[in-house]
Amino acid sequence: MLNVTNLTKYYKRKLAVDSVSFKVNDGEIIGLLGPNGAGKTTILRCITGIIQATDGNIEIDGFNLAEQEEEVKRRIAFVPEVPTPYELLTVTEHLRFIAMAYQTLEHFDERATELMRRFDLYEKRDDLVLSLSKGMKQKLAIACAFIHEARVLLLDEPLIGIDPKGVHELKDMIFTAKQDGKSVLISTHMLDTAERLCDRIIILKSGSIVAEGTLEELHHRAKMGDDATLEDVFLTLTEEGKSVETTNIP
Amino acid sequence: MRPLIYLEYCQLVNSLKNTVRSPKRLIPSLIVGAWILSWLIHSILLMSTEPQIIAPSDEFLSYLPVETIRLITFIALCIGSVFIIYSAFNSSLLVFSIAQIDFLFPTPISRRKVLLIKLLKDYLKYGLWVVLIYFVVCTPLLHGIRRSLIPWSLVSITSILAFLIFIVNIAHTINIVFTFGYERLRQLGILIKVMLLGLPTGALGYGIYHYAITRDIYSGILFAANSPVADALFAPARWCSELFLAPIIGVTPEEWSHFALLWLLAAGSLSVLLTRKENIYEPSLGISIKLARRKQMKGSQTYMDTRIDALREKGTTKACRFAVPPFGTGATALLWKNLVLKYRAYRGQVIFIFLLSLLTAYLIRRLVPQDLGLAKYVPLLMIYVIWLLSIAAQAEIKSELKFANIIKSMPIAAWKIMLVQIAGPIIYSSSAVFMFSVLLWVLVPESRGDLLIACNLLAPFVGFANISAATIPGLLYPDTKDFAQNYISGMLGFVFTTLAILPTIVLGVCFIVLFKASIYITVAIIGVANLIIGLIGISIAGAIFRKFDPTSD
Repeated sequence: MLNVTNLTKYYKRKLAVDSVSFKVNDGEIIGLLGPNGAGKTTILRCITGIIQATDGNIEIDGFNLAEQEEEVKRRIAFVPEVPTPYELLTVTEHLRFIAMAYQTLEHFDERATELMRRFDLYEKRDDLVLSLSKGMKQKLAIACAFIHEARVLLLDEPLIGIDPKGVHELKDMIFTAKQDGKSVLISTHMLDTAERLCDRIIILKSGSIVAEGTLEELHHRAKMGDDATLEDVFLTLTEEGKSVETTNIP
Repeated sequence: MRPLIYLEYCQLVNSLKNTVRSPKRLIPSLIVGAWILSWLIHSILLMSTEPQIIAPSDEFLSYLPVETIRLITFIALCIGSVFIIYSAFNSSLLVFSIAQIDFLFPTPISRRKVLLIKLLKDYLKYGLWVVLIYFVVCTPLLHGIRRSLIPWSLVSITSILAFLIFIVNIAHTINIVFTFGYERLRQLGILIKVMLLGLPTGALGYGIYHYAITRDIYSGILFAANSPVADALFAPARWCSELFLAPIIGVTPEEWSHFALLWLLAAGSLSVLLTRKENIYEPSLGISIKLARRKQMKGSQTYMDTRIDALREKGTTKACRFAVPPFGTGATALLWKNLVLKYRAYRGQVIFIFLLSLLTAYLIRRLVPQDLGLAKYVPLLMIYVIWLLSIAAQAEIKSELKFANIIKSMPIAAWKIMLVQIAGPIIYSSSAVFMFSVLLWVLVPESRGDLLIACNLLAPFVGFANISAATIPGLLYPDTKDFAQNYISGMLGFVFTTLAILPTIVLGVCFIVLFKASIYITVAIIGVANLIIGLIGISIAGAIFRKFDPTSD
């Protein structure tokens, strides 16, 4: 379970995330939606420990990121927004390195082969990453996320740039992860996918949460009927959401 | 540590394999490798075949400006360290790749291990650079003065390395601390920055005071370098500059203790850096993204791209007020676009170009002997400048080819497109010549005359012929990312522009020197000749551009 409490992030004096709190339960898929610059990637980067939150608390399965960073990271899998894998590793070496980093080398060959076959990487297993197309690099990033047994999946725009088969495979794996009791947090602009995939939606604007809940709850929040799409709800809520001005750290 | 070692090992092996597999990468690597190896072999041969003198000889040393060498080294180390530490407040030296940010940072490998491996790699890199530069620069000099490289050069090299490690560690620590404690530590940061600039300025003032008394610039510098402020603030730089002279004057017991202290400082600063609790990843995030973008454009980054990067970093969001207003349709509209883009990219440089021109004109006035009457021929220098600028314009035209898929789809004849592409460089290079002429007119009265006017009249014509000639190889070898294509197009550009400037030189010499023709008739003839050359160049460039495939590498 991922628990984020009062997460705040300043870049120098610019407020990027303003006291955001949410929870992703076991076996739950949460969609993180918001216009460009809303703070989605910053939230995901804070959870992964790539950047340090200015304030707030991040816990995974009871482990606190600030105090037990390595334990938290061991439970996370992350797919970055624009993956730039190590270009001078081959596909297999890349997967092996990630498995080594997470200390999960047991049954590596079987798992790597299965993932490479699912994402059409098997034929390119001995090719250097620099020879892969953008879509294939995205698939490799997804395979890296699934090479170890993470408890929490953090996916930043994972569906962009991959072919329909890849999208199908990824959705299938996300549903499998959900059934296995894992927590999934997806940041996306693809509202129709979020509508079908996610149990709950968080809508961000200017670093703050403007709405959170199931699609029905969001309909209610946006004062719209049940036939309204997530797109209608999103546009309504982000238009009326409060705007956060650049402020100084007190 | 195992995954990190595996990562470095795989990357190294694959990098070597990747280089060997492609002739495009292998040939430049072999050339550079052979060059370095030849220097190393040369140095080793020098050490083994010549008589070695280890003990310093007083008579010999009396001829050597040892104190001057030490002073220059000391000042260079001081300026370098102030620059590195000062820049650490604003940007990070600790740069991780995007791959590391995306794939290594989220893993449970401890930050300290990641940082340690990164630092060790950096230290190794610095060490190799210090050794390389030392061998290339110092070995022939030391051999020239018959000094032994072994063992004292090792002291010299390792003390520079220790100093470098110490300064870089301090810079990393400052960068990490001030990235996170921005508001809290802002006042302290300002204080340190003021000290960093203020104290050396104090030492400089001390030197200027002594210069004012003695009227001897060397003793002024010496006083500044030996001032109590410089002594206290830059003690490690002083020790390093003394140890740098080890191959010439040996090492005293006191200097050995300084050597040990330098390494102690390097190790101490490393342990301070490793024990910092801040997230080391964040300071490098912005700069890594910027570097990745540059890497993506590797080889293709022109001066225009660099300027655009600089404007982006400056946070420029608004177009400047005084730009060329839109004019024309078709090819003329393209010309307007080129002029506006160039103006927006380079306007910040206008003052620099003006100051450079002013300095050049001033130096001409001071250095060119008045009695020989050479100053009146100075305007000829501008034809040379136009020729140089035309070679540089090739890169700009090649970078414009990145937008060929947009421009080629426009209903404009290919030769017209080429004409407007080169019109921008012609207008700007002629303007630069005109600005320089005005400065010459004002500052160098001897240069005033028909030749100055003639050179100004000729500038656009010579520019037309030369830039169109330089464009042709750029279109034949357009791939800016390919080392070989860049090399060939540059070399052919040099040949083509030399051929294009030749008629100007020949006609000028023939008509003025041999036929004693009027300068303005000569200008008219040379202008027509350049116009013809330019039109031929444009026709050829247009024909090549018509066949140019923007989708192909």
